[in-house]
Amino acid sequence: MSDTLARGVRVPVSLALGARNLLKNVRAPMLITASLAQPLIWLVLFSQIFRGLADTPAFRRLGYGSYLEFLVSGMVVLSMLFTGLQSGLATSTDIATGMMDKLLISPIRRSGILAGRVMADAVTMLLQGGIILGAALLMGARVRTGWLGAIALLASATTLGVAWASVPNLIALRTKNSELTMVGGLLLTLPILFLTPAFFPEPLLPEWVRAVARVNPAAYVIETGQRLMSLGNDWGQDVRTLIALGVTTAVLVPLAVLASRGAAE
Amino acid sequence: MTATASRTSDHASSPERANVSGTPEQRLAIEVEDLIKVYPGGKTALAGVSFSVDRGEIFGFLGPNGSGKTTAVRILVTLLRKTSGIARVGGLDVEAQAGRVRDSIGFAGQSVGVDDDLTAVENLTLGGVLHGRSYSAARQRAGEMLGIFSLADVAGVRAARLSGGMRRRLDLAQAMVHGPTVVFLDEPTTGLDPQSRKALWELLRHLSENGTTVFLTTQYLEEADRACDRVAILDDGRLVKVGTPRNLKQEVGGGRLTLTIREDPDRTLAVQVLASIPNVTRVQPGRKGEPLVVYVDDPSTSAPLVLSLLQAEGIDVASLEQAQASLDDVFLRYTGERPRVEAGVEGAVSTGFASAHGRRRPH
Repeated sequence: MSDTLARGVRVPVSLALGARNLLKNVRAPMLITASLAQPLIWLVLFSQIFRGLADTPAFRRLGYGSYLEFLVSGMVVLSMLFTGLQSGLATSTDIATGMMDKLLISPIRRSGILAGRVMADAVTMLLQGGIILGAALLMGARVRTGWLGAIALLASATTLGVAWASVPNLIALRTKNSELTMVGGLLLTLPILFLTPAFFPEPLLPEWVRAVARVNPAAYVIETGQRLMSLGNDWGQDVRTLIALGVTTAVLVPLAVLASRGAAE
Repeated sequence: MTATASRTSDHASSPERANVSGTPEQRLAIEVEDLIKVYPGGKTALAGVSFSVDRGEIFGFLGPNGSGKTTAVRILVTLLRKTSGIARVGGLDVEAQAGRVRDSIGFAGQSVGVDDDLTAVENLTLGGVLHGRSYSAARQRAGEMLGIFSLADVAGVRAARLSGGMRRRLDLAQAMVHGPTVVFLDEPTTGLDPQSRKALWELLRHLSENGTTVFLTTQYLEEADRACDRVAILDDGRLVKVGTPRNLKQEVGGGRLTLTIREDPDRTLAVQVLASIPNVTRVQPGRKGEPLVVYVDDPSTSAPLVLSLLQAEGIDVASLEQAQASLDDVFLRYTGERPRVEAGVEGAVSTGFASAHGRRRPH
């Protein structure tokens, strides 16, 4: 809660809880810093290690610019997925400390608790994605589709991250155990990232990985981001990505809502 | 905590209290009837519990670890669904009308449910906002509560940096920040120093006198004895006794004699002699090497009689101590003396009740 919130005005619960969750990120920044540091380190390291890939005929034929520009989209998504994991851990902490009980017996809608979490996650993810994109620009990357493309990249990745955050939150709500949330979240997060064209263009991936990527929403978001960074907009790809995000949200978010309703059991 | 209140005269204001008027719906703050809770997996936590609590009453819910106290509290505060039975708070069904129940209750659980990353005043302000107050009203109320709970000096300190006792007080303040009509407190004095415990009981008495109902569990029987209008004893998911502390103590005998006999072979004979004395209500033989505990109506008049009868039978009494019966005696009588192993929702494995507050426990 911040003094900047207007005095005398009834604060919507989701906004109050969102502000609370954001304030926690600011005051205890260790986890959020970690979820930002990892993609930044990978961005710097991998853009150097694999920079030669951009000179190969197969890569050049696809029309991508530098490997750095190709990699940015995957690293933005990675930061969102990690932040989703932190979201589950924060829920797990609220359960362990009894804070969740306090929220659950307050005369507020369960959806308000979830909305507060989503709000904080979305703001955090947007900021982190912006930092990674900014770092890439400082390293020499360019966004071929301009500011609109950059915003679209961040928006689609944030939507994916928020929907994905339902999974660690679901684990936290069902297990009430932060270790299980961490392990379960990590075990799911990394395959979600690696079974995409985050590091290699889709035509260069093994057949089975391409098959999995076709049902992996992260793959759609990453590929869209890569196009926005290097190739220009593709409406067909945009529509496919929107459908993938819609389906992911429609499946995962209700699961988290259901779990939150039985959180105290 | 700075709230002061004169204590009502003993337990005269208790349930059986005649001055409470109105229909049962108006009079009762909590109604529980044949409440059953069976957890997935088959463990029965509550096996048909029935009781009621009057408005403005301080009601103590006592029981060994794992007896079902916390389960009952969590059902009443809408955190847990019952398997069957009736549970109402303020006349409202805790499941069908959960939203309205939440409007009227405050709850502090065994875990200190404060946000470590927020300051004391922020925690309380958030509590007020969650209960529908505007930010400014919530902030103002937070300031008042900080004063009441003697936390004003640490208003801007993050909860993580407060001492255990301060965090517990902050938790209690948060439970009451919205002025609930029924407050549920699960072991509220655990972790508090004697001064804070005393101040908390004074505050609860003050709230009670102003019409707030207080439902609490506690491991401190002497506190429940002094402060609760009525207590209920729960054992193994069943309610074994409800009443005023005074009445319950009278039921086990007004007092207790603790006898040590020199020769253990005399123990059986001693038990027979003691059991034959008219005003002896119960004899607790104990094991070899342990003292005999004898419950009597009046310890001061019974002691000489007990001594003379035992000596007449040639039994050598090494020592005799007399004391008024306590709620501990009531508790042990109805729940037994076997240490319990805690399981399920009530927490991790721990030993029995008596050891929890340092009382010597016969084996």
